[in-house]
Amino acid sequence: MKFREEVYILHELLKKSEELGATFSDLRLYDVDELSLFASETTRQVTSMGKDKGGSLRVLVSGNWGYAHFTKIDQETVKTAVESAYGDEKVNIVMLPPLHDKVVIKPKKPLTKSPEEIMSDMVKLRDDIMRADPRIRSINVRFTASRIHKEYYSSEDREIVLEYELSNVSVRAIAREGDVVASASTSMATYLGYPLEVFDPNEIVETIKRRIGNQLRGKVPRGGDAEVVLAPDVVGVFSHEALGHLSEADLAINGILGNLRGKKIAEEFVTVVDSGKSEYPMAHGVVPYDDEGVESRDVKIVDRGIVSEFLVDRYYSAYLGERPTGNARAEDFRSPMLIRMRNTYMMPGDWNKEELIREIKDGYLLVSPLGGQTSPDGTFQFGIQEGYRIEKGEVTEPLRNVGISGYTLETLGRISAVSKDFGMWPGYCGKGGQSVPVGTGGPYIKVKVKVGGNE
Amino acid sequence: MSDPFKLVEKAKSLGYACEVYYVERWEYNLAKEKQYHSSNVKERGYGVRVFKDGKVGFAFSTELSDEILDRAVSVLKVSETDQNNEIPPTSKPSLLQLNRGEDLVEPAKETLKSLEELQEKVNVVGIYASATRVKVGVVNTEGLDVSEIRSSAYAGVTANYKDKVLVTPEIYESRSGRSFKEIQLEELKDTVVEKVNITKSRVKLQEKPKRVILDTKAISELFHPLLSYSVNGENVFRKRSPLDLGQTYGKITVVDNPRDERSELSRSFDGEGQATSQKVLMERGVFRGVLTNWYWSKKMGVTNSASAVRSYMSVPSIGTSLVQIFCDEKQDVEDNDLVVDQVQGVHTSNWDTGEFGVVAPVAWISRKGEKVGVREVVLSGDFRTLLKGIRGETGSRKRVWSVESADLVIEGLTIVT
Repeated sequence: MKFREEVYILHELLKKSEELGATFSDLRLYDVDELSLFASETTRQVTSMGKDKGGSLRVLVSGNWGYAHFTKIDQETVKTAVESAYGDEKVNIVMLPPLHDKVVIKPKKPLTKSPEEIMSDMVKLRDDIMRADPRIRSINVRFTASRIHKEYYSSEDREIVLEYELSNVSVRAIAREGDVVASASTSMATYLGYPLEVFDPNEIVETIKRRIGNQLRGKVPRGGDAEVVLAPDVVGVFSHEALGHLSEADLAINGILGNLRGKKIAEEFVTVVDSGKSEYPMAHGVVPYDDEGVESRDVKIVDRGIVSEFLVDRYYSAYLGERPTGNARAEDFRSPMLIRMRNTYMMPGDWNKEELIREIKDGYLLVSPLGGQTSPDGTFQFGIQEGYRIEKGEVTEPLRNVGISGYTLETLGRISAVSKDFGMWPGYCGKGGQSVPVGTGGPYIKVKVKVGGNE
Repeated sequence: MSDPFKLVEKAKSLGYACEVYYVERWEYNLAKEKQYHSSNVKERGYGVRVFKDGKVGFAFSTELSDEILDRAVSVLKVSETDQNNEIPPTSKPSLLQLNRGEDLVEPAKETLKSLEELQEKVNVVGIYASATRVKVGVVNTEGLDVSEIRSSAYAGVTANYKDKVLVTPEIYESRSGRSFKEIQLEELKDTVVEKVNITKSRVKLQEKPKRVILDTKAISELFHPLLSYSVNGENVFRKRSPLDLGQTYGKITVVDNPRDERSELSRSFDGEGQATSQKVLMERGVFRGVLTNWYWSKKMGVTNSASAVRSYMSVPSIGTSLVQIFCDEKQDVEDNDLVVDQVQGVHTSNWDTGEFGVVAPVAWISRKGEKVGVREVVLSGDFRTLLKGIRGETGSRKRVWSVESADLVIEGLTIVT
């Protein structure tokens, strides 16, 4: 344990907060060992390696929050937090019973290699990809690993220790053929250990090769409404971007979902869940307890077509009268906690992929996204890096430069079929200038959306 | 060990060239969404690079100790051998006045209170006031020893129109400077109210406009990240940029200016301690210059633009400061011009090809001098087409975050309605 040798001092600080007027206080401590390696066709180096160690003290004084984020804790930290409390004295939060727990998620394939050995693996991966398609002229291979140790203490007598590891290999390659430039990316991230041992590195090579080939010969689709089959990777991003963000209570109260709890917005076969734990290796939104020391539970955002629950922190749990969900997360000790998703996915249905494709006479199969964005008014947008045209129920030519957009409620209502096939992918979600690891997933679905192209 | 100089001396005695980048940061944040938030951040951090025989190693920590040096040395062997992996030289930057030296806490509170007045006029989703004061320094075994204190202030609003049946897009509007005195709060509030009113009743475009006008905010959201990637020396060298040096792309002039004291992105020296100066990137459409850090300037054989940006947790990369855009040709706003103010989905762009497809949730069409809000507009194209399609500038020059420019009138982009 990294901080617990100082546990007496930590409790003293919480006690001192109470003496200075705090009715609630909590302390979160982070000790994270970071390693990032980068290999390209021209360079290779360690881009980050070190220890990110610090904490955050939060106090509730006369109904106002005060925070002090620090790299060095002392009595002055308490004074800073208490004196920074500001507001209209109306903050009310859910209090929780005392709890002492320690959760250690042990990787199945622990990372035991030295930075030099890992770099050797990355260089091999780089070379394999460049050999797979000689048109690839430029490549970025990145490896990141975080060994995370978190501790949480609250004036309610909660003491929670979490230990887990996250690691990620990501590749982005560029190819040129004549005047046509193509780029493709893929990544494998997991909480189960060294990605190149948890997964098959050849999948990375094959994925990049296929996407580069498609991009070089792909055609830009017509713009406008179209029937599409969205693959699990895209459905995951849709569930996250288009729906998940709207269900974050801080956004929901000003957004379109705010007044729709209990209302039907989709067919019965549409259910979307956010969960802090998943068996899928790439579901790296690992949150057994959130950063407010709250136990994680599954949240059915849409339950059989009906808006059911929102993602909450302690404040919105009290405000909305909803049982705590464990969705308060901070990127690091220097960042405030925000309501964030964890692993967000649409549940599978009864169809199979081939049946969905056969249903479409003229449309698109959209396989892999390029991230996305949503607005609380219910509009969403994201790019597609791997997609194909569907003609008369058959997948035909590949596409390039595709984006899709629409209105979330309208789009959810247009989902006409959901497959049994299911997959989860890793992602990083940005909000309020912070980035946290999330998992996204789902089945294949058939739906009508606006496809943006260049023609 | 509590002194960067001692660490550098120790590295030297062991036979390594060494650089310590250090940061002491204070930040104060106030926010009002459904609830108020107030926070203080105090942090210190150190990033250590060591060089030997064409190899480079790096480590960081929030505590300065011999261990960082040992860790940086331990990963030297991971690096490729490249003669351009060389410690940056000593430099004597002319220091800008980037710290206004005044109290930032009370003005932040006053700013928040002032912005709260907007609640009477629009649906305020969030209001924000924050301030930072950061001491940044770089020392190295070549004798480099530079440091400065940089202050900044920020005021922001997120607002929309909301009733039982209608929720309009959230409008993000912010202003920033070196102190709160440099922020025009009344102008910010008026702008928010005007844009919320424009989006309150939006029409669907019946015909596609021929011209798009990106206002300064949209330039900062869409044009800036595309430009920033394209003029990055590493991307140009590695042929990842959609632009080719020496080629002509339209008619605008673009300057990266880290010496404008009003911009919170300005700096007397960069992340490697090298003195900053203005850099002409595009001159009347001709792609003239790239931004570099020390390594990429040596690799490319060009003068270093001193554009290294970094945190103490990472090695220096390359980034813009304040991007200033100039265009000799002036244009008037014409009927049916589509004015885009805010875009979403920029991060889904393909930076390497310059292709983008974004939604414009806040946009309006000009009709007989009136601004009529429009909905369901997707804007797509590529960076080269965008540059070549610029017909001129219109309106007054404004500074929004990383960009100072008038609005740009553009033809040739694809509009999907």
